[in-house]
Amino acid sequence: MWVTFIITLSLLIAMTMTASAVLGGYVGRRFVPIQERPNYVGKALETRITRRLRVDEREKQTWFGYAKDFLTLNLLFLLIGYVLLRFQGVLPFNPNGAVNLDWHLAFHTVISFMTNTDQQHYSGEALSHLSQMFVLSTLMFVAPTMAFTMALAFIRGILGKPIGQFYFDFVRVIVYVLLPISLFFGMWLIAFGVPQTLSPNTVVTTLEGASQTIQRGPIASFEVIKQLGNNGGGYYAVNGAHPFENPSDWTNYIHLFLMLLLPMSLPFIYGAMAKKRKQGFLYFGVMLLLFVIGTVFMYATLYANPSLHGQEMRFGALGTALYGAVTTAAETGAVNAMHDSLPSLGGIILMGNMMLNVVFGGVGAGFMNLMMYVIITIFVAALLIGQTPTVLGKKIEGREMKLVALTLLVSPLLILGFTGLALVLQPGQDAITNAGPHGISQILYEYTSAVANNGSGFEGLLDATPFWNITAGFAMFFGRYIPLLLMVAMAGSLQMKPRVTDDGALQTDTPLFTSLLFGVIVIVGALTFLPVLLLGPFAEWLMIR
Amino acid sequence: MSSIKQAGIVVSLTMVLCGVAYPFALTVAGQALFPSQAEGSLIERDGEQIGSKWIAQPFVSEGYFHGRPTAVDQLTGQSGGDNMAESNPDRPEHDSKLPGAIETSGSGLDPHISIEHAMSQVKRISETRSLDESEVERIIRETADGESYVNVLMMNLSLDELG
Repeated sequence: MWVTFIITLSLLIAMTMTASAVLGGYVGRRFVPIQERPNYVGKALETRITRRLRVDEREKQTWFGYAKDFLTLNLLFLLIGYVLLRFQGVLPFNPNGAVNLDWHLAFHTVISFMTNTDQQHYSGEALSHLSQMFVLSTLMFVAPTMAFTMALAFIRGILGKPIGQFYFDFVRVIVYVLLPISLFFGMWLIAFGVPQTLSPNTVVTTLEGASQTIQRGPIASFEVIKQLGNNGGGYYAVNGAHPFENPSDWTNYIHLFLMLLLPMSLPFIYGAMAKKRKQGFLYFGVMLLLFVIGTVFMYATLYANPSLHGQEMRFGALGTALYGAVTTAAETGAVNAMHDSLPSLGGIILMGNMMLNVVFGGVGAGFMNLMMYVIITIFVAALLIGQTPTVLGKKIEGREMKLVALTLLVSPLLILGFTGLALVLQPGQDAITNAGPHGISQILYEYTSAVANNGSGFEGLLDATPFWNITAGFAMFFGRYIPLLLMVAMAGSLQMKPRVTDDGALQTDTPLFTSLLFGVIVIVGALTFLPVLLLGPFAEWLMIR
Repeated sequence: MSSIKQAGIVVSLTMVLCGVAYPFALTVAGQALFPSQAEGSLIERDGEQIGSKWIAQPFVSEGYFHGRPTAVDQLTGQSGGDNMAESNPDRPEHDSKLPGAIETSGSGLDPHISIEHAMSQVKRISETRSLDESEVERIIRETADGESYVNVLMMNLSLDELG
């Protein structure tokens, strides 16, 4: 069993790493602004779109202008999405008679999909075709693109290059990265049995003569961008545990590959843009080490506890453990088993991955979190050896450190604050369905998943109420936008500084620095979240042991 | 051009490209190359649709293999688990000799059972159908095709073929 696990994990890592290195190199070379490039596939589409927008690539945007375009587009999508969901009952393309969503559910749902979280408090049939197409499916492309563009701007900023043009980046990510990969792997999913049809549900007569409804639809197109974009929202209530979303070991493996592809490619994009391949590789290595440790531990908990409660036969302990570890590491939020029913100690890994949010992390956001830890590490290391801290030849001063420290505080404040709030308030306590320490875990998981923009859940939690819609909605919103904007602001501040001489500066592409970085991530993460993890999953384990 | 107007153009373009054109293109290509899978892997017998290969049916008669326990009504096609935690006192104990036979599945629609679970049903089925136990076991082996789990609906179709 362990042998199969080790072989499968190694193969998965080798394949995704190769693919993400290729993708990272491509993006790193091609997405450099103001560069004469020969004609290439898709250029016609890109030119058409950007001409209509009257944006000029040669026109330099400041980080502030870039962030303004980013925010305007986000707010407009949120507003239009909210209106469409709120009034879907009277809008066209509503053959199944879906009713208007309540204001708090529309609020939660549109934030959820806009922030790349895809936490779902609505039930599957509650949405009209119009909402599915123009809100959910569209936002599943838009949300990862947003974080991707911010990461590109961030990298250019810290490298001291021009920030770029927001709309050029936006269009390129969708046209050259998301759409082609989605179409290619969508076909594979269909080949392995994931339905892709516009026909209505069908009623069959079972072998015992009963009538059974087979619910189907355009699932493959939804599924592939859900994984590739680290979205994670399910077509069905049980997400990737549903046999139509994930019918076999093969589709399970494709899901894992797609979830890891973009987050893994970011360090390589950085390496290519900075022309520091070794550095990119070492950053990748830190995240990989965290990932491997968590995944091995996750498998060990399932190996030691062979109950198949809430799991599917076709995945077994191996497929279930990998999926749980990958979906929380890459902040996708798809599940192929009911996480509520998994071994209690496994909950530490599932939540730990989301709390760190740097074990590859969501598209773009994970890499920016890593760079935040890099700057903290440089700061600590430079103080230890009595030097001025610099990153890529730019001095790190009070302003940068304040922005980094603020970013670091956002996620624990939101996760622990909201969890504490829900634990003392009646509407929070009422949602618990598993008494004892696991009840704490259910609430903690919900907010951790919201703030990390993951979207999976301990789904027993009765979260379809105004209290949960509003609090989780704010948790997702602030968990997304505050860190992204603070980090881009920090990059903008670094960009404008003069370059100081590199001589004698702290070398960051050494094994020593890399291990220090690993230590900082583990210590900061552990100190922040260990107490609450002891109260939840660990106490549960002690109780049943 | 004002930034609101720019954003408005981008919103409508992405809605058309990602919300309509993309799923439509994949549907056309998928239906052309893999029509059966794209329609839901439906199984026909005597010209009538009797189910999907991937969706569990609620078998109760003595002469059929039974699937895993479920938290949902499988006839409605809705999916769901019971979300009972490891520490939940109502959660049934696990039987290591019959993997998956006592525990509810994740989706509620799990089409498979473990080989051990299938083997434990051989005696009941062969008695009800007056078949040799070896014949029922052969169906399990052939349907499982080397895996540690086996598709319930496919086994039951083979049983019906034997008569």
